[in-house]
Amino acid sequence: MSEDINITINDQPVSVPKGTLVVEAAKKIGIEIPVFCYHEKLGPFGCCRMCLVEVEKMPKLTTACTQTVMPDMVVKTESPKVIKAQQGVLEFTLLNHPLDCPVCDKGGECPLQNNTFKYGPGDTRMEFDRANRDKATPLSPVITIDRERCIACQRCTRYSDIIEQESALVMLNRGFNNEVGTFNNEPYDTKYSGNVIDICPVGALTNTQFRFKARTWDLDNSATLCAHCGCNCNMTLGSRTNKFMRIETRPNDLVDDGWVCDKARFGYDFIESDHRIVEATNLVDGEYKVAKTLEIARQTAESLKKIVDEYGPESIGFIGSPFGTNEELYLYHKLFRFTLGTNNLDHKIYIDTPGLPVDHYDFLNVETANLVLLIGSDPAEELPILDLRIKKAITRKGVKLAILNDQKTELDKIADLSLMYDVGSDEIALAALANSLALELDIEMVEGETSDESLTGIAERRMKEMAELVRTAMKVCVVYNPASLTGNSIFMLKHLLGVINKIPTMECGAIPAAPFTNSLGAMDMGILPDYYPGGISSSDSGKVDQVWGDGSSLQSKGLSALEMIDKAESGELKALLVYRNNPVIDFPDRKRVESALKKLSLLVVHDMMKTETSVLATTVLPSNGPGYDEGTTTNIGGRVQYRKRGLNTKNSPDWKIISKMINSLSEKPIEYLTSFSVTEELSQTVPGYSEISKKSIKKEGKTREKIESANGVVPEIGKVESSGQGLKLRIAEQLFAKDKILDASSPLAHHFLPSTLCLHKKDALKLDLSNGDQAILAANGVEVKAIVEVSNRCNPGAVIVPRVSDDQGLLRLSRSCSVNWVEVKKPKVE
Amino acid sequence: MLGSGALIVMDHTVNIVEAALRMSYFYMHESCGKCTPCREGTRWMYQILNDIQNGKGSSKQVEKLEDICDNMSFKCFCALGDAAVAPVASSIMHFRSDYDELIKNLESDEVSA
Repeated sequence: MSEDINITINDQPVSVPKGTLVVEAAKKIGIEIPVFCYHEKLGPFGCCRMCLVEVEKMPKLTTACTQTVMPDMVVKTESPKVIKAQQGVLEFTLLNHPLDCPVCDKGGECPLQNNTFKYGPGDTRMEFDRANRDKATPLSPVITIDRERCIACQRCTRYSDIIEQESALVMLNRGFNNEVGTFNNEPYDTKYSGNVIDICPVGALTNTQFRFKARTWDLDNSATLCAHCGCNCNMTLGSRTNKFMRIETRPNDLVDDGWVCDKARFGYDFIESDHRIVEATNLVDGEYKVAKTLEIARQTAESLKKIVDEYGPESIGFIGSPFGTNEELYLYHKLFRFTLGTNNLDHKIYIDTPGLPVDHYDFLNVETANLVLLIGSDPAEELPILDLRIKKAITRKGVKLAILNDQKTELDKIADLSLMYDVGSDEIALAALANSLALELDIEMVEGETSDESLTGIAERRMKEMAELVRTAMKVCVVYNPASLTGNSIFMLKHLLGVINKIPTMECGAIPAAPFTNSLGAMDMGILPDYYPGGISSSDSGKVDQVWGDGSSLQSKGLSALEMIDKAESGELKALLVYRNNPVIDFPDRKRVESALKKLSLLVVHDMMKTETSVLATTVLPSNGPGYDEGTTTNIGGRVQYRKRGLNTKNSPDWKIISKMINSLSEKPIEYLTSFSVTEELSQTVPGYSEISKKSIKKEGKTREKIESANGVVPEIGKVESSGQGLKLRIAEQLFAKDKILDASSPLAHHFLPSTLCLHKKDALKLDLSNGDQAILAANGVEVKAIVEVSNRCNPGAVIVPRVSDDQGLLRLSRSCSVNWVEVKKPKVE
Repeated sequence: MLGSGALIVMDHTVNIVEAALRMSYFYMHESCGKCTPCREGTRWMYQILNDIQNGKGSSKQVEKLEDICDNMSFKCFCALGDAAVAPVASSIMHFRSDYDELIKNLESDEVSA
């Protein structure tokens, strides 16, 4: 579409698309034009004047970072005029810049240092004392600013304005006195603040944790991935003498667009935490005895086998994790399905199925779509880098945003249409939207009343508006969070996707945006009771046998994670292996989970941190976890990337532990040499992963093929629990929650919020509660204290409670993954 | 260069270096600070002129001033930087003797001392 323009730079011809900046065109043919203020993600600005170049027929030198290419332009970047200008500008830049490079954290990777060596004058002619400004001032608990070193390039302030769109960081004052700061000197503590450290071209903005810890050239840098959420942002983990030092971004436009959130940058203290599980222990006569990990793995496998032999394969179960790597989960699938013969595998408490009836979109599609339809998702708290991508798409790419959610989110501010359904009515709301579209398309509709406002809290007229927005968009990208949907709503959502896809000339795709590192991988690897890897239904025995060999399909129906707890409670489940999951905290009704787990004759916990579940275990196996482990993960956009090891450990990697368990039970042991040997095997057996290999996922990763979902049946609306005591409970995810990953000693601890509950005005009035009051949430015989916030964050009849810490124990209040009722009351006056 | 089109008429009694110093103070004060040459250059020029005016300058500094002017002119983001150059550059160009006189005083002082 866009035509190419031919220009000449230093006598070298180059052809670039219209609108390209000269600095980018030069980069294309390997000519470097020095810059400070220009950053490819921030766009042209032209304030540092470092990139002055000579353009024929232009009277003055021009800045290559603001000048777009023109036909037949002739650019010179090394002419005497340019060299004089570069030296002049650098002299100005360095005029009041302190010469503390020997102690500066940026030393060794500093653009100012590098450009000065390459383009600068050899000496300074400054005869006056350099200006003094404040050194080492905390800008937030995690960022320290050294104002003396600042060269006022405004990269950080523009980042705050354009990318994170908080406009929190600004230039204060004028002229020589200008400096980077915040309004009223408030701390600069947005969710994405750390990125300014990376983009600062000098040592002005520094990582408080990393300050003076190591010289940059002494670091061992490992190109790894973030393991906090489903975005799987690329990052570099720097270490020295096997000690964690810092995290930096590692730009990958297909995933993170060059940014990471603060949780990624400052939330890795846990890898050196004292609470890590580093040795295998066995409970013998009430005492934990340490033993060799692989030996315990062998014993564990044999104990599991013994229980299978005695009580049948239905008596054991596996609760996996959406945080493990594909290789680990794949091996666990093999261990439980083929070696032990059970379908009791799961990794989650909500209901979800693999595969989509539409295209599986990646992050780039968010920008190229015409409409992003966000369902039940709060990217700012769940998937921060997706949040940045959506903000970019909406504000700078002209994409429209429609939101269907049960709570107000930050993105509502920039949404074209935002509808809020009543908590728990997601299924009807989705059916209503699907029916509005189906009516116009004249295709089969969901039966039952869906348009009544009293059912969902959304007027029919408003829902029609939403349908119209969807119908008129040429390309829709649906981003939904399966974990926020209640009951069986996921089937209604997939039906909706199918309906949208039937609109003529419509391109539709979806991103299943569960907020966990590898929830897509966990589903793809078959950590589901009813699906084998690659979305093959376990009832489809023909297909299962075809992929896995004859006799691979199991007759028994598997149990979901919550059903396993039920069976453990009733005594039918004898043994459970919990892999990097914490059912006691993360599953509903703690008391019941605890008593159920205590009834098991064998509870193996394979985890990286001590948890409330590992305390109950009869056997504890150490898992290395992020930082030490390696393997592939699949992000929510379907991109498979390699998580490299950052630090060395003597402990056996997880895949070795699991394969030891498999091998000690099987007649034909398979020895894997590295995690890639497992990757190679799974690429041959897991549908969708055939092109994944060590080579193909290098650098940027590779998108796995789309996994089809069985489609066709129009779902029915399930029975709605319309009656209950009190209000409907909605637990909202919080990015910076005090849990096993971010504990009280974390540098992000200042983000932790007190326990809060958000009420609608009407309910607050009824309950006689107002802003700031202490209140109590009560259900299941459990009480949770919280501070009242009266807001319109949800419709009347519900209460939104952000999950701010593990200690809060919010899930004790709920019973299931569908609608839970909770009573909000005033505390008793003593 | 006339800049805004304003004219300042001065008689022969005016110390031209002092006038240049006053004007460069104005430009230093007016600089918004966005671009490097203007932010740093206006201040540096003012500092040097201040030295010269106070009898602490040297002829090398006058040459340096001319070079700073060259490094600034047409290289700033907006025309304020260019305007800031004008009084300094033109005063040196047309009234170099006034500068030399201030510097000579200093040099002769040094001899007598």
